[in-house]
Amino acid sequence: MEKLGINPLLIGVQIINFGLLLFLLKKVLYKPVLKAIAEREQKLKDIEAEKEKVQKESQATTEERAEILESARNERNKIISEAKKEAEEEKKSAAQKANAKAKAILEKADEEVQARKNAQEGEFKKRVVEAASVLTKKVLSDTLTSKDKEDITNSLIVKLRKVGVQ
Amino acid sequence: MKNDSKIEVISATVLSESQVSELEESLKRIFSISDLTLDFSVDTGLIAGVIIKNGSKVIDLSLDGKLGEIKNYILNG
Repeated sequence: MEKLGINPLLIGVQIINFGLLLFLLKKVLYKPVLKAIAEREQKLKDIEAEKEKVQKESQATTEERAEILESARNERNKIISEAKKEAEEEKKSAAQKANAKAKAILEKADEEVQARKNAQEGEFKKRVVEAASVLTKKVLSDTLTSKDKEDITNSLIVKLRKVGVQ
Repeated sequence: MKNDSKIEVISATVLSESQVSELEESLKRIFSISDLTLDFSVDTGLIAGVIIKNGSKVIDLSLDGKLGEIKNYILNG
């Protein structure tokens, strides 16, 4: 081996040296690096977990927001629908009230017109009858002779016989 | 029957004796008076006939009164 340039002692020392180096590397460098890598991996896992959690929360929030929006939309539609319905009923009621009021006004106007008409007719009738009465009286006074008047008076006095005891 | 009473008689024309007599008989019976006094007056506005007044009691037998009754009937139904 010496002819080949190989020194077994040197090889042994080199092996020991290498083992020692390995031991030192393992103790001093390898473990902390592994630990750092593990910690980094753990951190990445934590971050990933956190990310998933946040994503889930975000998803939940989005869904919740959608639900709230949907609910608000439904509520808004319901309120609008009810408001429209109330407005329609109010409009209908107002129209009915207006119609009733108009009807009452018309009826009152009709009654007033009828009352005026009746009053005018009554007045006209009264005037006609008054005129007819005056005219009749005048005609009778002018046309009846004294003999006629006496005869009428006689017949009226005769009627007294039929009048009962007062 | 009362003994004496004064009754007002308003006529359209002056009444004849027979008319007065007829009136007296009827009025005695109607008012139950044995001896009555008639107070005559003339109102040509009555046209014909007589109005008899005994206190608050009035018997209208005039043509004017009949016209008034017809007028009231037409006006009041």
